[in-house]
Amino acid sequence: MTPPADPVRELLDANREVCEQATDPLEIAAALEDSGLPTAGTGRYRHADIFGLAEELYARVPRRPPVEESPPPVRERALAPAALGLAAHLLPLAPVALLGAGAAGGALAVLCGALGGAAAEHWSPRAAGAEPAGRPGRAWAALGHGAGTGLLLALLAGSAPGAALAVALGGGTAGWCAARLRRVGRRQLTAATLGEFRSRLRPALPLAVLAQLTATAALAVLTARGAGATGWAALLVLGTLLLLAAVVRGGGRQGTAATAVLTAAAGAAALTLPAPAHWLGAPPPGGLLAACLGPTALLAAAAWPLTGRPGAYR
Amino acid sequence: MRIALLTEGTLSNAQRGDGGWCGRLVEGLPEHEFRLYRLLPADRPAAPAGVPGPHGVHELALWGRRPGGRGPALHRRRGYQRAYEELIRSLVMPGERGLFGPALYRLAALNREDDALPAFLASGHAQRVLERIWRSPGADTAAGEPLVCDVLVAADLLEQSLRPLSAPWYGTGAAGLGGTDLCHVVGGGPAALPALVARELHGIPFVVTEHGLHLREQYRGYRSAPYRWPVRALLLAFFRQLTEETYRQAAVLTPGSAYDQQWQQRCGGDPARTRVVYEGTPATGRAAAGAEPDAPTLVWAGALEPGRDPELMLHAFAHVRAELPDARLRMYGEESARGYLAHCGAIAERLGIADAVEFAGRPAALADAWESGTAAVFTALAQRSPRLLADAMLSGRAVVATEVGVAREVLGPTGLLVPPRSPRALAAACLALLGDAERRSRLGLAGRLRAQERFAVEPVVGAFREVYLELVSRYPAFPARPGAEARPFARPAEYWVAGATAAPERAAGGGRLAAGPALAEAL
Repeated sequence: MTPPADPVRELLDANREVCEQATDPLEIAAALEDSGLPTAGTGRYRHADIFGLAEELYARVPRRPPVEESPPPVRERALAPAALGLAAHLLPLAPVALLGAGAAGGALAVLCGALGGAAAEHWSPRAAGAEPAGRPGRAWAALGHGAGTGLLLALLAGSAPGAALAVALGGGTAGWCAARLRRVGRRQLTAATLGEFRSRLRPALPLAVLAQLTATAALAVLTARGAGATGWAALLVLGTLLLLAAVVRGGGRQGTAATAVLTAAAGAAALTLPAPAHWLGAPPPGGLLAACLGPTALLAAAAWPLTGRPGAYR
Repeated sequence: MRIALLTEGTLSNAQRGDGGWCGRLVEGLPEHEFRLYRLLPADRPAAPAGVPGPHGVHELALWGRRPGGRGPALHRRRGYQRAYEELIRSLVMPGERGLFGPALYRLAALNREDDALPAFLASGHAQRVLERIWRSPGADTAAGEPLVCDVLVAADLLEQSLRPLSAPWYGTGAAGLGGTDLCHVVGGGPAALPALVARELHGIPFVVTEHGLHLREQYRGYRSAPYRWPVRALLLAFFRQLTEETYRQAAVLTPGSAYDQQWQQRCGGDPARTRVVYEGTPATGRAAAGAEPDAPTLVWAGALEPGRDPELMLHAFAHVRAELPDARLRMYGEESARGYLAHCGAIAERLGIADAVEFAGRPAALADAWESGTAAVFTALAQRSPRLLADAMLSGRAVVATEVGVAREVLGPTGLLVPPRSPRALAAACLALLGDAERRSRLGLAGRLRAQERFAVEPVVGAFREVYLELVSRYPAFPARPGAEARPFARPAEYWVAGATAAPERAAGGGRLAAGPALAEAL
C-alpha cells in the first residue's frame, strides 16, 4: 500500500476543531501530545518534531474562534432582592408600631434596621457569588446602612406614620429597581466597547429613579392620604435616597452608601431636637427633608459614574 | 551562598515543585543558606511549605482578591499607562514581541516608587488601555471580537498574574532578593517574575527548574477554562511571552526530562545553558518487590480518565485472556472523570473479562501495587512526568508502556514500548513478558538499576551544588550598579564571613548595615 500523498490531511481532519480554535501553534502541539501522538510518530508526517507539525497545522487551518460561545447567562431574579429590601425596611417599623415613636421604639427600630441590613447583606446575590470571603468592613457598612435606614423610618413614623409605611414599602421597590439595574448592566456586558457600554447604560439610572418616584408616590396615595406638601416631599426624597443607596451598594461601594444614609439619619435626628427644630421652623417631616436632601444629591453624584462602569456589575 | 527559592505554592496541577522536592534540596545542601519565597492562593489555606529550616519564608498571595492600596497619583498615571500599553502591545501585536521584557521591568520600577501597581491594574484606566490596544487594527486577536466582559476578565487575570511585580521583595533589605547570590525558580510561570526583576535590578542570576512545564500546563488547562476565546488568546500569549523571557534570561535551565527540554528549546531556551536533572525520588532506597503472585497478573496504575486510556488496557487484556485463561488484571487508581469507573466496568463486562479484572482503587502504597503484579503496564496517551514510570521500575517488575512523552527516555532498553492506541501490540508485549520469566526478571532488574541511577536524590543535590557554584563563579560580584564593569571574583571570601558575624550588631545599630554594599562600591 502506498502512503497517502498528504499524510497531514487525516491528522488535520481528526483535530480540526482544536486547530481552528488554537491561539498558538504550541497549543496544537500540546493537544497533539495529549491525543497520543507517539514520540517518534512525527516522521510519518514528514516533520522532525511535533512543533513543526503543529506549525503546519496552524498555518493550514484558518482561525475560527467558536462563534456560538456566549457569556454566561445572567441568572439573577429581581424578586428576591425586592422581598429582602421590603423585609429589611418593614422590620424597623414594627417596634415603632408597637411601642410608639418614643426613645424605646426608636432604639429598637435602629436595632431592627441594623439586623435587617446585615441579613440583606448576608443573603444578597452579590455576597453569595463574587466575593465569598466577607470583609469585616463590608459587614460594618451593612450594619450602619441598616441602622441609618431604621432611624430614618422611625423618625418619619413619629411625624407621619402613613408616609413611613409608604417609604418602607418603597424600600421593596428600591431593591427591585436596583436589582433590575444590575441585571440590565450585566446584560450589556456583551457590548463591544466600554464607550458603547456607557452610552447604553446612560438612561438606566434616571429611569430607575423615575420608577422609584412613581412607585413611592403611588404607595403614598394609598397609605398617606393626609400628608401635606412637606410630607410628600420628604417621602419622595427618602424613597430616592433608599434607591440610590441600594444602587451604590450593589455597585460595590458599601461604605459610601452607609455613610450617606447614616449622615442623613444623624442630621434628621439632630433636627428633631427642640432647638434646631424651632430654628428651622418647618412642619414635622421638614427636618427630615432638610437632612436628606444633601446626602441624596451626593449619592446621586456617586451613583451616576458608577452605573457607567462595567466593573460595578460583576 | 544565599539562595532564594521561588515557588508557586499552589496545589494546582501546574505545580510540580512543591515542598517535597525543595525540602530535599535544602536538606541536601546544608552549606547554603536558603530563603523561601512562595506565591500562594489567597482564598485557600496554604499547604505547609515542607521545607525544613529555611532562613526566612516570604509569602505573597497570588490569586484571589486584590490587596488594598491606592492607585498612582495623577501625574504618575501616564507612566503606568504607557508601560501597560507596551505590555499589551507585545502580547497582541505580531511585530512588537520585543517590548514585553522592558514593559515588565518598567512596571516593576514604577511600582517600587509608589506601590500603586495592583490598584492601577484593576482600575478603569488600565481597562481602557487594554481595550484600545486589544481592538486596534492589526492585533492578533482580530479573529475573536473582545467584548466588555472579556476586557474585565482579562484585566483581572493579568492583574493577578502580575502581582509578583508588586511584592515587597526587591532591594537589599532583610526580605530583599538583592541580598541573595542567586535565585532558584522552581516551577516557572509567575514565580519567575521576581527572579526576572531581581536579575534586571540587581544582576542576580537565576536557575529555572521545571517538573512539568508551566506553559504546557497552561495550554492544556485553558482549553477547558470558562473564558471566551479572546481572553484565552491574550492570557496564553502572556504566558508564552513570560516563559520565553524567562528562558532567555535564565542562567541555567534544568528541565525534568529531555522531553521537556524540547519544549524549552522551542520557547527560546539555549541548549548550551540547559541541563536535564531528573526529579529525584526517595523511593530509590526501597527494597525490590518480593515474589511474583501465583497467577500471571498485570498491574495498571494511574488516574481513571480518558487521557490515561484504561480502555486500551482492557481491550489488550481481552486478547491476553484469550491466550492465557488464568491471567488477571488489577487496575489501581481513582476516577478523576465522573462516571469513568462505571464506564470501564461496562467495557470489561462487554469484553467478558469482568471476572478477571479488579478495580482496586487507590493503593495504600505504590510499592504494594507493583508487588501485586507480574508486570506493570502503562497505557497513557501522554506521559508528561516520569514519576510513576520510575516508581514502577524501582519495584523491579518488568514494565510495558506506550511510547509517548517521556516513556522512551525513562525506560530505555529496560522495558517494552508499544505504540499508543494499539491493543494488539500491547497484548503481544504483555504475553511475551508473561510467558518468559527469565526475560521478565532480567528486564525488571535492569529497570530497577536504571531508575536507581537516574532518579536518586543524591545526583539531584550534586547537580545543583555544581550548578550553583558554576553560576556564582561566572557572575560578577557586585553587579547591582548599572554601568559598572563586570568583575568576576571581585568579592573576597571573607566578605560573607564578616557579614555573618556582624549580624547581631546590625540588628542593634544598623550602622554596619551598609558595610557590605559600601565595600562593594569601593571595589
